[in-house]
Amino acid sequence: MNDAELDQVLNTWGVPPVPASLRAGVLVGFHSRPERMRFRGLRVLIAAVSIGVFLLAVTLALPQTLGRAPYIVDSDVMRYAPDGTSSVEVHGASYNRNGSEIVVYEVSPSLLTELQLGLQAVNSAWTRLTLPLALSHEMLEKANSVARGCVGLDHYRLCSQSFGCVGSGPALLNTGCVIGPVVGHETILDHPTVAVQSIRGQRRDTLWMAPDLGCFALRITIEERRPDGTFHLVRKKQATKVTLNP
Amino acid sequence: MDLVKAARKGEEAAFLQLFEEHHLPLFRFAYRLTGSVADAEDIVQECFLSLLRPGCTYDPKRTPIRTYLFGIVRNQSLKRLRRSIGVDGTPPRSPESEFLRDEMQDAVSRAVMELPEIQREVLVLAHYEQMPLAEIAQVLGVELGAAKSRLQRARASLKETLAAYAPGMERKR
Repeated sequence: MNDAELDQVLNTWGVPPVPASLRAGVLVGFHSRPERMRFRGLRVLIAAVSIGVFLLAVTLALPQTLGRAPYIVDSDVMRYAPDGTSSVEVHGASYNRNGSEIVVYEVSPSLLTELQLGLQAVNSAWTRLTLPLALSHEMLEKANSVARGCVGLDHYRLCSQSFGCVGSGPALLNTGCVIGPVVGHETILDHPTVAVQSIRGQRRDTLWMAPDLGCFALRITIEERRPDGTFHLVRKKQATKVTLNP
Repeated sequence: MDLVKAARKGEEAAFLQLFEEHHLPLFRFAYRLTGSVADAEDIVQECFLSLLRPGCTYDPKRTPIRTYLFGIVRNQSLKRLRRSIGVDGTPPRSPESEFLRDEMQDAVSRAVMELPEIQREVLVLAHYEQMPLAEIAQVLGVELGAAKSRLQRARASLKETLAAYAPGMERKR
């Protein structure tokens, strides 16, 4: 059998007519598809508008927190064991506004997977946006007054112990970052800093603050006194990168 | 406007136009793969409705609608065949084929149905739907060379199986 003969034989196989019920069935299926499919675009639009309105409301309510950061400082916080070994406790990014530190994000290196980093950044931003909405006016005022009195490690709840009474943020700026005994000057990451120290009980805290960065502390050390009277380092915050006009 | 897009937006006219343009070859293809009118009807209906579902992956920039629809019918047909295949490994005889009066037509349908799936689908698309090999390869998701060799094997096999029905052989049967 050649190709032409095969084609001729194959052509004898016909197909029954298409049942009329096919068209009817397809039409029924078309009309009975779920409503959500038909109005999917509208629902997406409504959701997008709702989110937009919410973000706009937050923006109007908190213009100061959504303002553009003049600079961002990446920092590591290291913890020192009694034997002198150190480990990075937290990575973070922040800047100062009116003498108060604004934390953009902070993550623990032990959780540094890409997903977790992203989730923590989102969580940090979300908390920053929504927290004031959850607080009463009085609580918010109180929180702001505390924040204005803190610099550097305030988000680790250390400033209240070491620099909790240094005065308001604007006062800090007016004194050229000098809020205690000056123990030195140093240029860190191309920014001149003034080092001030505070000793309280068994602790000695030192902040290297940059006047050109709104008194942002590019380095903070926390030391504890040993029985022999010497101090040993227990924690240090160190800037690793300064990005201007991010 | 793209017919699929319009149909998804709820335009019945667009959906019907799609149906009218494509349902016949799709039905023929499904019937020749499954050997059953009822299965072919279900498959073609499901094929068109699948276009309306949110999870539908059809992208007009990547695939012509005809190729996409044939691909759906092919997959659905193979699924049904595998579910209903007999213990002897051959597809079930359809009720329709039992009533075929023409012996040659019956023999041809049986011979085609007994081809391995991968040869049958190529043969049906190439011979009965006159689809170019390049498009067949796209529908099946295989290389052009593979589609070509499957077709050659299918035809060679049929030449043997149907040799007795070659024109001029009637008297010998």
